[in-house]
Amino acid sequence: MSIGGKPYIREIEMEINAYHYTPGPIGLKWLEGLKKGSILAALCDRCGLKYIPPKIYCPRCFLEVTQLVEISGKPYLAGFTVVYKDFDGNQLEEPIIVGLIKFEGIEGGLIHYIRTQPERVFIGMKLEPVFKSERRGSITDIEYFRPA
Amino acid sequence: MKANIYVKKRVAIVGAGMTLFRRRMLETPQELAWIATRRALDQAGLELKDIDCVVSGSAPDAFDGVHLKGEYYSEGAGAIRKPHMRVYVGGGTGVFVAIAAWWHVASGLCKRVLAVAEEKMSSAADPHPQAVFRHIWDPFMEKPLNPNLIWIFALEMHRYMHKCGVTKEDIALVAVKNKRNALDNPYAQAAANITVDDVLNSEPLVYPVNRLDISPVSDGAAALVMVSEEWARRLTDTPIWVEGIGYTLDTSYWTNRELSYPVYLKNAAEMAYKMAGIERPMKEIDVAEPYDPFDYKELHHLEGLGLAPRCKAAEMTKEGVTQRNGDLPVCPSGGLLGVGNPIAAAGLMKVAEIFWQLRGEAGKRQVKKSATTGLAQAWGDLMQIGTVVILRR
Amino acid sequence: MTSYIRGGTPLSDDEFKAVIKEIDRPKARYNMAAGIAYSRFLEGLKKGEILGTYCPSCRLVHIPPKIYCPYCFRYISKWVRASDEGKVVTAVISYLSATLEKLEKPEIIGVIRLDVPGYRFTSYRFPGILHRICGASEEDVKTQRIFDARVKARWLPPDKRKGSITDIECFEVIWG
Repeated sequence: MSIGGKPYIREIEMEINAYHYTPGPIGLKWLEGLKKGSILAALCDRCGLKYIPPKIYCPRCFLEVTQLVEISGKPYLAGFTVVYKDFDGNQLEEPIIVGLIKFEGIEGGLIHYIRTQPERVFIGMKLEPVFKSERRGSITDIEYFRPA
Repeated sequence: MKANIYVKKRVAIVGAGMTLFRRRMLETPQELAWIATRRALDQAGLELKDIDCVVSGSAPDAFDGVHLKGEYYSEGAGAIRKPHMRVYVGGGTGVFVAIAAWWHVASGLCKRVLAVAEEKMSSAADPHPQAVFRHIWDPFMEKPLNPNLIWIFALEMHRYMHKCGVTKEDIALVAVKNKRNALDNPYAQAAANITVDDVLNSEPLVYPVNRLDISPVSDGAAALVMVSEEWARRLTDTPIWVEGIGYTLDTSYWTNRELSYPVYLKNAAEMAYKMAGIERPMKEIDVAEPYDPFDYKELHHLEGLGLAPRCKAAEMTKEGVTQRNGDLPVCPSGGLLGVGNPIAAAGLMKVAEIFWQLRGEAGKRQVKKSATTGLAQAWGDLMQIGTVVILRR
Repeated sequence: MTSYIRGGTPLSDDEFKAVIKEIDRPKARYNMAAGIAYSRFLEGLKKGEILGTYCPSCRLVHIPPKIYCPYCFRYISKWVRASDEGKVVTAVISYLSATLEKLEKPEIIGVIRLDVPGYRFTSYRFPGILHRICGASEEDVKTQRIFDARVKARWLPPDKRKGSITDIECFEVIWG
């Protein structure tokens, strides 16, 4: 089977320029909580489950959830990784630590940056959030977590 | 086409639910899927733990803007820790989800299945959700001409008008009927009391298509609960049996085909009629929900389904046969033109509407005649797929 | 009223803009390979020829060309040359651009069924392509006079052709 002619290539870009994501009814209130400087959790009043990130249905009993409550449990590091290269494969000046942060008594958790030396990080480490001074209602209102 | 079908178990729908269909919704994809799923479970009288399999359908990830969106909304669709399958065949997805759910129950693999369809088109906000269709075109033969999606529909509509001698006024009657039907539908986005002149005077987009000939872009979700025979009788006095299913795909080379008659739909419909034992569809189908993203599509599909003689669907509409109090009510829900077009959820909404009509639960939309057999159909891709489901009380 | 009871929370255009906190821009770019059949077809266009492939068992000429016949699934090796004349199967007037903006001058677009000397086709399956139509007015389209009209390709001058479907500027109607 011979190829008849030059293989023609045509370059195409993605269809959409930008996506706009809505947070959902309870997600919107959660982001307002972050803007005020507190991390809240959703509470299912049927089975008592407290979970983050919040959504309008309970992942355990599948019924509607509308309440958000303050988290009393302390955050701790449940898992982490140390990143040395950026998205394009170039070496980072300083390695970045990304961690899975869970809270005592709460189902689920958050992914965020951990600011400390890579050698000091361990699973189970107690953490505290550091908020930015200028906040807009986003997960990035928390700048990073650091050892408590 | 001969359908070699050995059906182990009879399948019935026992519950259906949907969200509002609106241009923009606050809920995330999971939450939209959850609202529809929760309502379907509540009507069926089941809890999530009673469901053993889940089938979901959704148009490309490019709409919601989340890669692997089937997995993303799967929690809201109740699919966590259960066998889950996602299907997609363009606009035909909505009815295809019901067909895929039917496979699961009819084969004996699962006993109680959720069929969920969700779409959040508003996320593709810049420039416009319709831009996602820019890549539907052949990159070498069609894209360099900078085509607009409405071209294909306009080309097919004009060919249909020419071949069958149908005028724009005849076709506009469908938009008028469906939008008026939708006034009684609490979920509807585009319900309105308009006239044929309103349609003809609306903004011309690609002649012969005007703005009011097209269904709107929407967010929404719909869900069904499908169970096997022994469960159907345990859960409700009026299970609605899935008597026939059919689906057929044609080539994407739409410029090589005769556009005025959907042969692929005829094949799909024959497959479904054969399964359901229907020999004279015009007499035996009591209520139909063919897919109507454009008004001429309702006529086109009625002919492909064998519910109208070739080129005669417009006459039937003019005579009022397809009104809610007519002999063959078509799109009593208001169809896509009236309710909205969240691509996958729209088709499943049609199956849900037939389900409610056959049970007598359609409220103000209930058709006048006593309906025992109904048909829901969806269509999609590049004028390619026909999917049909036949329900019977 | 909760989300469940109402069936969702609709938002107006302004309310939508107010709740959006995260905006993301996808960055992928794609290179599409034309493949075997299209590469040869596009080379042909550069030379001013419209080529197709012929399946002898189905007796169909495929334009756009393919190296397999989708109906009998056999490998096709025979190439034929179509004339650059044909007739209009269907045509429409586009007032909008690809990005939904109003066009300065409306375009007439159609599906053209091409003649292939020595071959005949049914009305159901035929070699046909999408292209612009010139030499016709909006009235011709609205009165359906343009249906079955004969058309001939208007090519770009040879030095301007790049091996693309746009090497044909449009199909010109031959009234007569």
